Amino acid sequence: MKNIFTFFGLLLILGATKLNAQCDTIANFCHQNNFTVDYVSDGQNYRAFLFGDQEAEFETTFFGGVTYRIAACTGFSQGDLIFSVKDQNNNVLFDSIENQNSPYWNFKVENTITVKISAKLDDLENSSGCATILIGFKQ
Amino acid sequence: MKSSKSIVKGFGFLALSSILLTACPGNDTDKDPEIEIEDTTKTSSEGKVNPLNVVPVGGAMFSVPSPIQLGQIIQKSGAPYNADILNNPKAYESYVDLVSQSLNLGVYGADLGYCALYDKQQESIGYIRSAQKLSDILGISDAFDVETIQSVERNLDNKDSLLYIISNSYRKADDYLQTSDLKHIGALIIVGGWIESVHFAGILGRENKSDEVVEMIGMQKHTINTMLDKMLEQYFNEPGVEEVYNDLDDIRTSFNKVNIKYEYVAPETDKDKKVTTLKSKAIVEMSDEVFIEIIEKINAIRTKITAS
Repeated sequence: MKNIFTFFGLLLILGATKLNAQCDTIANFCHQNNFTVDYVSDGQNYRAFLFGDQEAEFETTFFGGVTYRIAACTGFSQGDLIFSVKDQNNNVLFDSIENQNSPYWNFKVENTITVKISAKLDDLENSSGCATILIGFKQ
Repeated sequence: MKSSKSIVKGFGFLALSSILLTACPGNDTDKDPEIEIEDTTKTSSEGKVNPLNVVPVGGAMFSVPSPIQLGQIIQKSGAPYNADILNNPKAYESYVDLVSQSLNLGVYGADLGYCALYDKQQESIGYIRSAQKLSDILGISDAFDVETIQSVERNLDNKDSLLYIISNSYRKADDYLQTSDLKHIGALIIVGGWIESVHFAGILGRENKSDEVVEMIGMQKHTINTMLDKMLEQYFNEPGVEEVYNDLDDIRTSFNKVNIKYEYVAPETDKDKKVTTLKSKAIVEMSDEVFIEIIEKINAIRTKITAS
């Protein structure tokens, strides 16, 4: 019985460590492949582990007069994570699925607004994965 | 044996649940009820998501604006460089507890970004070294390792590269902290950077209360709600966090007097250039009294943090 508890204890630790390490590596991959020196990261990594049709969502403020870049990754090939930008009233302002699953998109913001960014897995490619979104702004 | 099987099944379920919970902390999908929103168009039903299936990212449902980004807005407004508004780069030696060290690492990040934006090369070096000292103490030295410091020194005369390196260092620190049991330190770094950058905006606003500054400060109403409800509230069991929460909660009472109205305007997308132009508007309504009240409270908490 003691061995069984030890086994599952180890499984738990290894599983959590692996998922965290996976998210960590994907964030760096996503940054390296979608951000050039023109775009400065906002210093944060937005991520969640998703299954099936789950959707990750968070809000952010886009300031007027700034051009932003959003990059979305879930693995080591580009375009596996579908992302969209909606306003406070759920009007869709952008959806990557309508733009060939582009792994990044730029947003020229005329006036300061709050937006909701959401991401989901491309179900043709993945049934689970670490959804990672990065935001940068143009210098 | 039957009971052993049940225990094994139970433990297996617990293991799987724990892994999932580790990867997706929190599941709070509450909406901010304080923000008044006006919309001139019909809401799109296509954009709606089943709330039961929405996962909050990193336990937070709202991001905090980058201090460098806020500094950039201030610099673009034409405000001159002012060294007096920055923290003393040598003050790191007096920060002896994890809370003040974490908050001031955020403060130094904002100061570093400010100096870099104004091409203050020697000052930038001073702040990156202070940030390095604090990150060493906090156990996140990889974010400001020798290679990063050398890279900063090589790029002192190249503002774009410098800002890229600085922001990437803070992103790496955030990355590390999110995957460790030190998430509260990451949250406090973000809070420190936010307080310092709003302090910059407040100083600018005292001199010239332009629409741009009012908008920048007023829109922080969203941010302060996130920092309190989605970030800091999770870490009340960590020493000192509740005190920071209470100080910010007092500022929130002033932000609650700010009114934000929203007007939808259809965006325009250029698929070839991969650019969407967002044309919607948020209008910030804030009286002079509330504006002064907010910047005074920000200044008080900033003084408390940097003096500790």
